[in-house]
Amino acid sequence: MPERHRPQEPRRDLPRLGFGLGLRPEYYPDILDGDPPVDWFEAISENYMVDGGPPLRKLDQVAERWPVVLHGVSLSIGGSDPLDFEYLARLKALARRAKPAWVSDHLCWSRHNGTHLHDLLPIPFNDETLRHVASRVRQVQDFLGRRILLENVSSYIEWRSSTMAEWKFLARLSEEADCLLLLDVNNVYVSARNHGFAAEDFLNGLPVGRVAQMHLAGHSDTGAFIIDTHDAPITDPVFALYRKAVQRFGPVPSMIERDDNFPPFAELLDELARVRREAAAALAVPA
Amino acid sequence: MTMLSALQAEFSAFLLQGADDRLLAARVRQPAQGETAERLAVYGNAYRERLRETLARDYPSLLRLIGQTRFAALAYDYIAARPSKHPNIRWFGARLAAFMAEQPRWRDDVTAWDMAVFEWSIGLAFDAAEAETLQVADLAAIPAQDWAALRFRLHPGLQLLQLSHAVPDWWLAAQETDEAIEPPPPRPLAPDERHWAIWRAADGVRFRPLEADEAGAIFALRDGGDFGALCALLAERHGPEQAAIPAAGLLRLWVETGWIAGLA
Repeated sequence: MPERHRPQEPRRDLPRLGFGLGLRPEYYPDILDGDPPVDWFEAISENYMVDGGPPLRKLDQVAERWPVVLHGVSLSIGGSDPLDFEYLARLKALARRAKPAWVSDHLCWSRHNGTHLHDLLPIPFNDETLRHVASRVRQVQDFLGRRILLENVSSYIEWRSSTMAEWKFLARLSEEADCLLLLDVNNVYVSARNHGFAAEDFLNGLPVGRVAQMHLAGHSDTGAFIIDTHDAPITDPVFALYRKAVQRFGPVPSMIERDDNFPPFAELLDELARVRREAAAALAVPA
Repeated sequence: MTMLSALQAEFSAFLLQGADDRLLAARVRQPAQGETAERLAVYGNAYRERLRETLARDYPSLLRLIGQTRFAALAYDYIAARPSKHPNIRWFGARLAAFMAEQPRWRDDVTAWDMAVFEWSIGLAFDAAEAETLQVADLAAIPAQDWAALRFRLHPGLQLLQLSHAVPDWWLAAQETDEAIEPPPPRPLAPDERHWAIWRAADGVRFRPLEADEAGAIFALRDGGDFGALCALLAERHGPEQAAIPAAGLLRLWVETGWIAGLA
């Protein structure tokens, strides 16, 4: 039987934020000039790692009214290049300013030999990589003075040098590095389709107490495989997987990422209302 | 080299140089559906398209000025020649104007180069650091005998640039007209029209041309010249008796516009 959610030690100090949206400049007027029913916002860290001007002022205004979390894309925790402590110092300074409930990034690599590839690239899931990444997560957490959340990415290839499933890697990493997990339900769905594994196995392989946030988003289906595009509404199969995730991990803070083909804000709010309903329905199902 | 670093070196070469994907494919499991090459191509396309879109976002008027096809050609040339060295994609386009100036294919398109310089400077003003600004009352409190040696710090958002074509007018016209209607090509600027200032005001980024006196004076001040040097510069044009008054007037104007962060 899959484990069902119950209060767990690792994430006990994190607030139950509810249901949020990605903070995108396209929606600043809708967010700041109104009073939208959004419980919290997730800001892309790099968008605010600038010296001044309107971006930081907008973030300040949002942070005055809502809880925010910071979500980075450039940590390259799975990279073989040394950690970039200049980047981390800027991230730490931003966190001092925005006071996020938590800070997250991705289990991936994005930099090699000093060149930034600005993508979330897959790592091989094996013991060598696990030791390497766990050590780096501990260094990052020591430097930032807080636990970080790492997100599973969508992938289109699997490395032959992988010796364990992605969920096994995430589970072991979270224990060995004492970090938390950001479960991207859409990414699980995308990678499951692309690589032919059961999405439920992914969910059931993650330790319940380590999953501290969930992402939802839309994707593009090419037929032969799926691309994680964040440019469309969440699909029904991803909602179905989300219900299973909520049953397993509990009322974990959940949010929608939308990064392209931006709909009117009211449509995103309707979609967020559906996320709330799906979560409530999942939790109402008896164990 | 560790296994991880060898794998990442090969993948980087594939993305950056379009290296033979058969080498990389040997490291990849046969996908459940379709071919390895098309899966790798997802990454290859995403890399180029993400960076091209970033340039299009940072240089929207350049794109409109030279058109989609030429812009895409410029973007792909730049992406291939100048891989990103900054973790924040905000800075990827920083070297575009310098790149254009070096390339036979682009260096003669002076209008395009002007627009690249102008648009990047707008972005620099937009998210430059905040700074206190000097107030007119602060100036009034300075004893007369100290004035000649005064040096000033400019606001970090203030961008001073030289353009050879009226791309700011084109930029404005493009903001105000439908995508389908092209404003007339930017006209060449006379030598005394070529200096421009861009700055961040409370309500957004502003820009204006600088007349010859003002341009000489603000560039001198930026380069560390003191108020005495500024007066000497104006004296060359107006005669020694007339220099202090326009210098004080210019300084007051800059202070009121928020260009001066403080005394150096």
